[in-house]
Amino acid sequence: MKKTLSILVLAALPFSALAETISFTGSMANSCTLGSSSDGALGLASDGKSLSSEEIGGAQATITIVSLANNTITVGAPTLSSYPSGYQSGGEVTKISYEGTGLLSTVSQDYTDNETSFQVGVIPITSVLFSSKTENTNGFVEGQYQIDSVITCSP
Amino acid sequence: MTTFHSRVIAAVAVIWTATAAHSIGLTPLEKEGNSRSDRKGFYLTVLNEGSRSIVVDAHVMADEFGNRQRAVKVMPEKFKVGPKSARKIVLVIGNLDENETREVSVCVSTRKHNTNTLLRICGDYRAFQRR
Repeated sequence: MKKTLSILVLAALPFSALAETISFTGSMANSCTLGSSSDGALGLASDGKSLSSEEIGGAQATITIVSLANNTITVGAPTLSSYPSGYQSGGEVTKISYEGTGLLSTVSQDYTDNETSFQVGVIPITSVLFSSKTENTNGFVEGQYQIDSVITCSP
Repeated sequence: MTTFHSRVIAAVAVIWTATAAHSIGLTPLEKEGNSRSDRKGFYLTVLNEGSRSIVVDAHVMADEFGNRQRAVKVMPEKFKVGPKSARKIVLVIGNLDENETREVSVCVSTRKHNTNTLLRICGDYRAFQRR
């Protein structure tokens, strides 16, 4: 009799465990993440009057975006922020263009020297490829040049 | 076919480098809250999903007329976030008048090491005093 009771108690334990509920809760707040996975590079055109990421030695820059709500990506007007001391700045026109990939494949912007923007919804990590160039009819001197543009994500 | 395969490999390589990127994130990008006093605080989380530490500048943006926001502070204003880490910062909106809503924009930005690539995330935060 004693044995039978023990078995009954043990058998009842798994049933009470099955009645437990495990809950996982979470909320998804609006967030945005920007990443820079590769820098761009500038190459000199054969006529010496243009530095561009599309010339030999140049490279596109890649920015990645993760967005958990509807947000706006603003691409600031590009500026020639750094140049060698012998270069006479002011006569150049600096432009940027970009093209989205994957879920942002509809995003495309031709070369412009103005600020531009595009909308993103909820997207996993997605890349946008940027190209840039600066043109000066007076040409360029030897040295390091750098074009900057600020990329901003905001609601 | 070979070209197609090399394209696929190239795409995978881009995704891999993307996950190992220099990166900055912010959450939430929008939030509003009530306060019984003349100030309201918000916790914001700055994310670094990249593989390297980042130095972050946090700053309160000027209002729509270009004026400096009064009695608004974000703390800290400059800090480091380790790789694959997050850090909370505090935004305090003060000088709330009764039944007044104040909206403040805060931006966090990071400059990629040895470059001038500036990535910036901005959020909008609204505080309302209700006694």
